[in-house]
Formats: sequence, structure tokens, C-alpha cells
Amino acid sequence: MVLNYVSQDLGINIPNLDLNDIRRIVRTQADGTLPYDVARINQKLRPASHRVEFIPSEGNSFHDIEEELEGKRPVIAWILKTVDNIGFYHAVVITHVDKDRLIVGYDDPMFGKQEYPVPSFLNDWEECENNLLIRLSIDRKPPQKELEDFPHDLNAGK
Amino acid sequence: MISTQANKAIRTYVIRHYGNLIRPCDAVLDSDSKTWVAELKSDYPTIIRDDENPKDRILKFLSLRQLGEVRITQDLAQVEAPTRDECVRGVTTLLKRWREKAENIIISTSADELAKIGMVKDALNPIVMILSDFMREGREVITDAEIRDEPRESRMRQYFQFLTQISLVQRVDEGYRYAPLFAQLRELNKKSDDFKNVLLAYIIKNHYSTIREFFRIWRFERFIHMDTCYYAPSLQAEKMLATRGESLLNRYESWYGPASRMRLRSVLDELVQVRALDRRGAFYYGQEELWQEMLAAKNELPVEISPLRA
Repeated sequence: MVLNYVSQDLGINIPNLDLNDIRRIVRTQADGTLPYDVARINQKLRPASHRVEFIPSEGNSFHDIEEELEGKRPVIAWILKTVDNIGFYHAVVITHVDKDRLIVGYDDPMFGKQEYPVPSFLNDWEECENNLLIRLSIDRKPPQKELEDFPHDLNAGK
Repeated sequence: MISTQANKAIRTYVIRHYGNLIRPCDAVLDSDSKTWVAELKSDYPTIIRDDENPKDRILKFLSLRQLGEVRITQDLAQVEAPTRDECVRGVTTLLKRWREKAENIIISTSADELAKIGMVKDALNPIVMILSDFMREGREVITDAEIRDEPRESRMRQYFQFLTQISLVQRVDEGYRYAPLFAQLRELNKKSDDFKNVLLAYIIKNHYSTIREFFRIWRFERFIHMDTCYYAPSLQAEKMLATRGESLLNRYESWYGPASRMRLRSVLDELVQVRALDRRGAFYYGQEELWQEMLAAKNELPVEISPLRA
């Protein structure tokens, strides 16, 4: 969802990854996905035309979400989703906050576009403990090459 | 230490160490070890799609319980908990167990159709041979001498032993003869064109696990698995779903591992041919009559599932 936004809306050239690739990279297993494993995708995004990174962090405030959205960066929040009185931890991509209507809008991989009143969203977010967010960082500079991007054999190509 | 802090610490631990589908129950204080203990659980969400209306998604939950426990000391300094791999194994095992329970319902309701499949007959050929022999006019007893002439005598004796245990044949001095249950089934099905199928269906319906686990006959398991790929999600959704062949093949691979797609397509064709499934246009559907029977048996499917304890 976020990668689509990066490539289609921001026009950044990133490697083409399908859902199965992403699942494998972020180590999704039968128990779901660990929030910090989402950052594993960063290495795969290194060939992109810009430095694109996912940065998980805890202890965030609602203001942090607003700040990301003002910078036109969607942000992933870990929330406790409740359906028919059954709750499960779930990641959603926050796309907008309507300050007049006090509404948080997000793209939910299960239910599509959703809007919730701010208090209800905050309860769901806080239920997950430590207000977990995964920010998207985009640096307009091309990614710096790292040691492992170079051939191991220094004589290669001579 | 109050339970709120313990619960918070445990929830944080769970979020950092397990996938998002795992949650802790409320912590309770174990007075012996002086630790807070919270059981791990998952209300496992499954999105079920009807390929004819792909936008409509049906969300169903399966309650997986006793996936392990997180213990935390009262000062919140030390945590003892299963590894993520152990937790994943627990989830996978319980999901598989649920699927097997669904499979049992599907086998028992579709046995008549499955028995018509050529490969099923081939796989169970020794049993078919024994039962067919008893169906011959005037054939009462298969003697020990005849069994001794069989190329795989000991295997053949195991089949006779199995048929004796399930009361279709009985031991007599000179060998084996058909048992009253066999005669009773024949009487009940005298209008049936193929009594052999009736007997095979009876065996598949009631003793499939012996065929699979003891005789290790897995050749026709593919048909049962493919049937399960269609009916298990439909049972969970309580709706006969329109499903594309491609979706069934993908589900098969995800549940049972990689397989030749060409073979799987032929399995689907055969299931349609014996009317275990129905095909209309691009979609597969269940057979109405079988579906109604399955729905009636659905209450045998647990909504909450936890590991078997000795």
C-alpha cells in the first residue's frame, strides 16, 4: 500500500515487489508480522532512485502522526482492531486527519478505506501499547552505496 | 506490583516478540513462583472471498488458545516466554487441526462421490479385489490357501485383518467369509448399480484414517485435499462460495505444499466429473446436496481450538 504510494504518487522508482516478496522479506509467518521486521524491507529498497526507508518507533504522540501527514508521508500505525467484539493487532496506513470533523482516515488492508473519530482511533492505538508507528522516510538524494553493494572480489571486472 | 503494570509489560513484550496476530490474555499472579503469567492466544482472522464478488469479503475468526505463556517477575525485570518459532508452530498446528476436522466432515459427506474416482479405486485395489470376490454369485469363503498364493501375502493378510476389524468380513476355520454387515449393506443397496462403490464409500467414510495412517495410502489424498480447499472456507463462511480454479490451486499450495498445477487441474476435473464439485463458467461451486449435509455437520467444527494435553 505504502510502496504503491511511493512509486505511483511520488513517482519514485523502486524495485517491483509483490505481496509474496514483501511477506518473505518482513518475515510474515503464521502468527503475523513483527512491527520491527517491517524495516527489513529497507535493504531491498536500496536500488531505488531515492533513499526510501521504513522506521518503526514506539512512544509516539498523535502530533507525530499529524506531522508525518503534513509532510505528505503516510504513516503505519499498529492498532487493536475490534470486529464483532473480537480484537486483534493490526497495521493500518493513516492517510489523513480531518481536524474539523475530528476524524482519522486510514487504509486498512482488510477493510479498505476507513474513517474513525479521533478518540476511538486513539483508544485502538493505545491498546497496542507504546503507540507504535512506522514512519516513511524519503531522502531525495540517491541512496549511498554501502560496502555490501560492492562486489566481494575487488579484482572482479579488472 | 499491580496487575495493570504487569499486563502492560506483557503486552509490550508480546508486540515486540511475536507476530501481530498473537495477544496475551490478562495476567494472573502465580503465588508459588511469584510471577505474573499470561496465556498467549490468537483470535485468528481469516478473510474469505467469493471470486464472483471479489469486493465482498467475509471476515471470520478462529479462537486459538493456549499458545504458550509469558511469565514476568513481579519487578518486571525478567521474562520467560516461548520463542517466536514455538509460537508459530503452535498456531500452524492448531490451524492444521481445524482443517483436518473440516476435512473429516468433507470426507464423510463426500465419500460416495470420492469412491467413484478411478485413482481411489486403484489405490484401494486389494480391498476392491477382496470385496468384489465376495460379490460373486455363490462365493462364500476366500481360503487361506488362496491368500498364500498372493504375491504380497502378508500385505493381503493385513487387508483381511482390517476388513475383519471393521466387520465387513469374518474369520472362519478355512479362511475368511463375508460378515453380516456386508450382507446387510448389500441388502440395503440392492438397487445400486455398483455395490463396490457403496462398500468403498463406506470404508472411506468411516475408516479413512486407517487407510492413510496404517496402510499409508496417500495417492488419492490429493482429491480430498482439493475438495477441502473448496469446502473448508465455504464452511467457515457458511456460504457456498464461487471460486476460480486458480484460487483453489493457490490455496492448495499454501495449505499442502507445492504440487504440479497440471495434476491439480486434472484433480479438479475429476471432482467435477464425480459431482463432488460443480463448475459453472469460470467458477467452481459445491454440490447442493453435499453442501446441505456439510452445513448440518458444521457444529462439529470447533470455533475455539487449543493444543491437546496429555
